[in-house]
Amino acid sequence: MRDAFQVFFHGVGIFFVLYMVGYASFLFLSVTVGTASLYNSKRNNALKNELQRDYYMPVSVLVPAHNESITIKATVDSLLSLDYLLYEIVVVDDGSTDGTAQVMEEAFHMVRVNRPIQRKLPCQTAEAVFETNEYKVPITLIRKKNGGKADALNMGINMAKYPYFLCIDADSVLQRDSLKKIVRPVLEDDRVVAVGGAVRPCNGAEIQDGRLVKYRMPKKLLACMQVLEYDRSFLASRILFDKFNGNIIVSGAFGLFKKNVVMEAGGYDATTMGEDMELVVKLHVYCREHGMDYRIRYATDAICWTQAPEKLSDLCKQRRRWHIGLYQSMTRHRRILGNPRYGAVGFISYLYFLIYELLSPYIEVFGTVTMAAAWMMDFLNIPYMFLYLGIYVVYSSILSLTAFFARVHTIDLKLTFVDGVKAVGLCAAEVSCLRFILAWVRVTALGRGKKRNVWGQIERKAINFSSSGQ
Amino acid sequence: MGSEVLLYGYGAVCLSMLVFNIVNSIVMKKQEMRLERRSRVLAAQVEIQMELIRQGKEVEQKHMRYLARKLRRVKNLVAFDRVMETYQENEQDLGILEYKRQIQSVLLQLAVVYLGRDTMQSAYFAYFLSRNRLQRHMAVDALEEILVQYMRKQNLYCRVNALEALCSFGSEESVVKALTVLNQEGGFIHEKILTDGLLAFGGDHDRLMALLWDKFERFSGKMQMVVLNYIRYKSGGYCERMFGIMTDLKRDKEQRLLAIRYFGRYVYEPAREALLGFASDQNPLNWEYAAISVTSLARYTGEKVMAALIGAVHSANWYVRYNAAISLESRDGYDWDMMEAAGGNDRYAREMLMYRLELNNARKGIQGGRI
Repeated sequence: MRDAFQVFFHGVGIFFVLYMVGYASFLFLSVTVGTASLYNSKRNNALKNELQRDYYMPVSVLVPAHNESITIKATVDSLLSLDYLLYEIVVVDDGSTDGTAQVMEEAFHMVRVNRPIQRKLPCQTAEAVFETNEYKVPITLIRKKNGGKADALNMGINMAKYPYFLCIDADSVLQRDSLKKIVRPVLEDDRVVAVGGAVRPCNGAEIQDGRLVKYRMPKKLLACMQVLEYDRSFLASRILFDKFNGNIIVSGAFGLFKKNVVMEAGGYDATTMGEDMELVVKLHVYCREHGMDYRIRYATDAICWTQAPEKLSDLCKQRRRWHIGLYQSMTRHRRILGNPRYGAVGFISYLYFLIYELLSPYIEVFGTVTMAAAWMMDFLNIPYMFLYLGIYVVYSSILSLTAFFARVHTIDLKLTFVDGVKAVGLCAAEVSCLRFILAWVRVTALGRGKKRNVWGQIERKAINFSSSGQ
Repeated sequence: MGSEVLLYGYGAVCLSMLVFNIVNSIVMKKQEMRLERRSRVLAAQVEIQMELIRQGKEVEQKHMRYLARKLRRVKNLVAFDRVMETYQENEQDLGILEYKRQIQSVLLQLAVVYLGRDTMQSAYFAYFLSRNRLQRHMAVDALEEILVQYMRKQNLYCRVNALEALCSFGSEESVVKALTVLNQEGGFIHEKILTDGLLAFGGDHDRLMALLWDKFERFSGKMQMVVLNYIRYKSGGYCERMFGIMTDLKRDKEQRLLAIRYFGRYVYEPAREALLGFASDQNPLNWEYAAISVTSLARYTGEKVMAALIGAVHSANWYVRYNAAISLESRDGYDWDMMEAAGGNDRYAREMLMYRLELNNARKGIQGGRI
C-alpha cells in the first residue's frame, strides 16, 4: 500500500514539475516579449513612428451602468474630456435602483425624447430615452428594464450611430488620449475587428480633465497588490498573445469593436457572466468560420483607469464572477480546442486559458491537499518543498516587478521611493498569499451562486476626476 | 533537478530585466538632459546664423558643413527639430524662412542619408520635413524626388510621414507620383489617412485633382476611392464624371455609393432622376443605394422628390426610413401635421418622423410638442 502511495506521490511530483516549468516558461516568455514590446513602442514614440494627425473615425462610446450613481458623472465627464474628433456617448441604465438615470438627467440636462430603436440585437425593452446636444458631443441615455450587462451592451449597440463602438465600465475613466490611441490599430490595419486597451486600477490616481496629474500606489494593500497583478497580466500575456492574433480577452472595461462584425456574430451573450471574453472568442470563431482575414489587437498605450475593489469580500465576488464567465465562455466554445480550423487560438490561447486559468485553482488546491497528505504519511521532503516554494515566490515576484516597472517607465509614471518600496514589499505577498486565497475563491465559484448575466455588486467610491467643464 | 536549474536560469534573466529597467530609467533621464544640452548647442549655432541673415548676409559654409555632419545622428536631428520649433512659434521672424532656404542643400544630403537608414529613422526624417515645411516657391524638386522614394519603404509611418511632407511643400506632380508608387507597391494605408493627406495639400487643388483624374483608371479600386473621396470634399466640378460612375452598373458598389453622396453635396439636375430611381428601389438587396440617395435628395426640390422621400419613410429598411426622415425634417415649412400625414397609419414611419421633428423643435427651442 505504501508503495502505491509512493508511486502516486512521485507521479504527482512529476506532474507539478512539468506544470510549473510550463507556467514559468510562459510567464518568462510573456514578460520578456511584453517588456521588449513596450520599450520598442516607446522608441517608436520618440521617433514619431506613429500616426500624428487626428482622423475622422467615428466611434460610439457605450457605458452600461447599473447602480452607478456615485461614479457615473465622473465617467461621463472623463468621456467629455476626450481628445477626439468624432464620437457620441451612449449610457445604458440597466434598471438601476439608486437613481443613476436621475443623476445623469440632472448633471447633463438631458431631455426625454421618443427615439425609435433599431432592435438588431435582442435586448430588454427601453423605458425611456433621453438626449442632450449641449456638450461637445451628443449624449444619449437609455433607461431600460434590468437584463444584465450583456443585455445593456446589446441595447447600446442597437442605439449606436457609428461603425465602431467602444465599451467602458461605468466605474472607469479614460485618459484624454485613450480613444485616439485605441482607434490607431484600426487605422493602421483595416482587418482589425476588435482592440483591447490597457486597464489600470485608479485607486491612488488623480485625474484632471482626462490627464493624470498625480499617481501614488493605493493606500489599501489589497488594491496595491491588484496593481501588480493587473500589470503582470495585462502587459505580459496580452502582448504575447497579440503577436500571433491569439488574444481571447478584450476587457469589458475598455474595448473597441467593429459594429457590423459584432452584430453579424450575434452580439453579446446575455446568458453568460463573462460576456467580454465570450464575445471575443465568438468573434474568433465567426471570422475563421467565414474565412475572414481579421485581427484582434491590443493597444498598450490606450489607458483606462478603473476601480479595483478595496475589500476582500468585493474582490472575491469579482473573481468569482470572472471565473464563472471564463468557465462559460470556454465550455461554450470548447470545439475550438486543438481544432486546426481555429489556428493558434485553439492550440495556444485556448489551451493556455484551460490549463493555467480555468483549471489552475483546482490544480493548486489539489497540490496543497496532496502535500498535506504526503506530509502526514511522511513522504514529504520538507527542505526541498521550502526550496521549491521559495524559488516560486522569488521568481513570480521578479516577474511581477519587471512587468510593473516596465509599465511605470514606459508610460512615464512618477513613483515616489515609498511607492517603489511598497511594490517590492507587496509582490511576494501577492504571489504567495493573495494568489492562494483567490485560487480557493475560484475553486468554489462554480458550485455557488447564479450563473446568468447579472451585475456584480461591489462597493463604489467616487473617482478622483475633476473637470474644468465643457 | 533539471527543473530547478531552468527556474534559476529564468529567474536570473528576469532579475537582469529588472536591473535593465532600473538602468534604463536612469539612462532615459540622462538622455533627456543630453537632448537639452544638444538643443542648446545647436540653438546657439543657429542663432549666430540668424543674426547674419538679419544683417543681410548668407549662412556660413562652415555652419552648413557642421549641420550636414551633426544631423546625420538622429538624436541631433531631434534636438534640431526642437530648435526649429522655437523659431516656428515666432512666425513673424522672416529670418527662419531664409535660413531654411539656405540650408536646403543640407536637407537634400540628409534626405539621401536617411533614405538608407532603418525605416524608423527614415520615418523620423520624413516627419521632420513635414514639420519644418519648406516654402512652396523654393526649388525643392530633388528633395521631392527622394521623398517619393521614401514611399517605397515598407513601413506605414515612413510612408505616411513622407506623404505629409510632400503634401505640405511638394508639387502636384510629386504627390501624384507618391500615390502612384504607393499604388504599385501595395501595402496598406487606410483610405482616411490618404484622403486627409490630400485634403491637407498646400498647393493647387484643382491641378492636383486634374492630374489624379488623368491617372484614375490606372489606380487600384482602393486608391480610386481615395481620389473620389478627395474630389467629393474639394470640388463640385466633377458632376459629369461622377454621374458616369454613379450610373455605371459595372462599377464597384462603394464607388457608386460615393458618387451618390457627391450629388448630395453638389446639386446636379441631370442626376435627379437617377437618385429618385435609387430612392424608390424596393429591392432589399439595394437598400444601401436607397438609404444614401434619400440623404442626397434632401437638397433637391419638387413634388417628385417629396413623394419619393415620403415613400422611403415607409420602407421596410430601418436605415432608409431613418435617412428619409432626416431629409424630410430638413425641408422648410415641414410641421407636425405634415409629418403625421406623411406617416399615415405606419407606426414605424410615424415614430421616426415624430422623433426627427421633436429634435428639430428642440434645436429651435420650441417646447411642448405633441407626441
